Amino acid sequence: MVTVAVIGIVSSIVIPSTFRFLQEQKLRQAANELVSYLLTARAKALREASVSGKACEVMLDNSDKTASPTTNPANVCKDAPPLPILNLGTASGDGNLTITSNQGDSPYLITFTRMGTVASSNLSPDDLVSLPRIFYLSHTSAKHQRCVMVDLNSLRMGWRNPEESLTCTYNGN
Amino acid sequence: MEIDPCQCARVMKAFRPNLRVAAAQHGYSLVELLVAITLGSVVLASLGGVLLVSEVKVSANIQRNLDTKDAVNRTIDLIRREATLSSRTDFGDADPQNNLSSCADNTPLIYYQPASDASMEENKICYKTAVVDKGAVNGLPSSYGLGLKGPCVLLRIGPPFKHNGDLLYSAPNEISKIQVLLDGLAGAPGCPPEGFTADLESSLSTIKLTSPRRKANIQIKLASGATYMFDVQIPSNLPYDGVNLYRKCRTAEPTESFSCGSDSATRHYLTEKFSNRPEETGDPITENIFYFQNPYSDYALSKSRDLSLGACEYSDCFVSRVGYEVTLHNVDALIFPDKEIRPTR
Repeated sequence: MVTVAVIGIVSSIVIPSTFRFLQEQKLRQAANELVSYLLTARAKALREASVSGKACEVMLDNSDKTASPTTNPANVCKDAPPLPILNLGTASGDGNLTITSNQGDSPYLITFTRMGTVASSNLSPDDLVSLPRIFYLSHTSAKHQRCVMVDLNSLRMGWRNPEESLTCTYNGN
Repeated sequence: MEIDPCQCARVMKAFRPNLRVAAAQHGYSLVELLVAITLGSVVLASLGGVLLVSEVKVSANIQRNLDTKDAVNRTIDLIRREATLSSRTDFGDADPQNNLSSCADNTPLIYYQPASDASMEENKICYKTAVVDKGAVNGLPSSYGLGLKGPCVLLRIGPPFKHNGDLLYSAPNEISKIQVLLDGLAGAPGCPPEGFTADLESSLSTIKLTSPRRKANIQIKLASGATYMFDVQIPSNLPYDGVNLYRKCRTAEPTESFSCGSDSATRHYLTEKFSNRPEETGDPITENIFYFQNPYSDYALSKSRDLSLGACEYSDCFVSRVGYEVTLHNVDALIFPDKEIRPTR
């Protein structure tokens, strides 16, 4: 009886924290994949946009949890070979992934110019982009959310604790 | 029968080794094994945990260094590219007021680019340092309250980019966008200029009559101790040579070769270093450098011949030496063998 009680108590402590840890690791993996995807988009813009005169525009969509090139004809990342679609839902491990941003509503457009910098306007709507653009990747039960910042000159992954602060912290973890 | 105690002891002593052998053959008890396994597991788990944490820390450190290198490389690339698009450049110390709202003149590096419309002012792009206080920089957009490491950051203040990579000049409210280019710059407290410095070399690095350029040496120093040094090519006009500042010399016709005039002549001329065309007014589009042969102490500089009007300025600079004088306009730099002067605008 005592053994069962001990096992129950230990399990009630260990299982939720393990579950949360695994969720946070999956969020980290999804954020890593997003950073890698955006770095590839930027590299493609640097490599090919100078010749074509185009830019690379990718779309981050919360509804289907994907990142993909837009269909704009001036999008060099759509040209062959196109940048493949990234399914962040798969990378994050379940369907509870939510993508939000500090600027605008989903789908979020991110444009890399031939200089590899983020444009002041998107290719489709001529709206000005406020930088930095921060994308938050979250699960409902994850204590620490992951965030990806796209700035004029940098692409970084960080984390935030929504219970303590609305800001992102970038320390390489 | 009486038992001899000494004999009994001898018998027991004789049997003791056999008891030891029996105990040894019996092995460890289950409790002993469990305790040993538990202790061993704890020790191994501790060692594994330490190794895992160490591995994660090393991995994070490597990633952080790679990110920093990437950011520095892109910053260097941006500074170089924007130099080639600029018509002229200005240099100064870090802004002690840390005023982010404008591209103040006394920032380490300022690029000037021609305005798209002649009626508009030329565009400025400046690179300057700012202090990080509690993870943020005062005056930056709220979205930048993001846990910047500091102690200083390098900012770019200037027009944003269009999707084709050109600068967006058309929207006046978008001019002077403030962007953090690089975090973790050295220089606290107050971010004096050692984190980001720029110095212009006195001589032209590319002596081509069509596109003369000067070399500017730029240094970025990070708080981690890493230092990055690179140079950028700054567009320049042909320099004007003070060697040819003759006493009361003038030309009657622009095409005429340089000659000395009469004592009644009121104007004096400099010549371009690589041609003999007389000139005293620099082109306002690109940088104008005026070279002088003698040390700085030999000359007196003022705004005009009337010394009470103040110091030499970009628009008007009166330079005199005993028996020699000249009025210069649009002066970016006066270079003497021992000193370089950049008049205020």
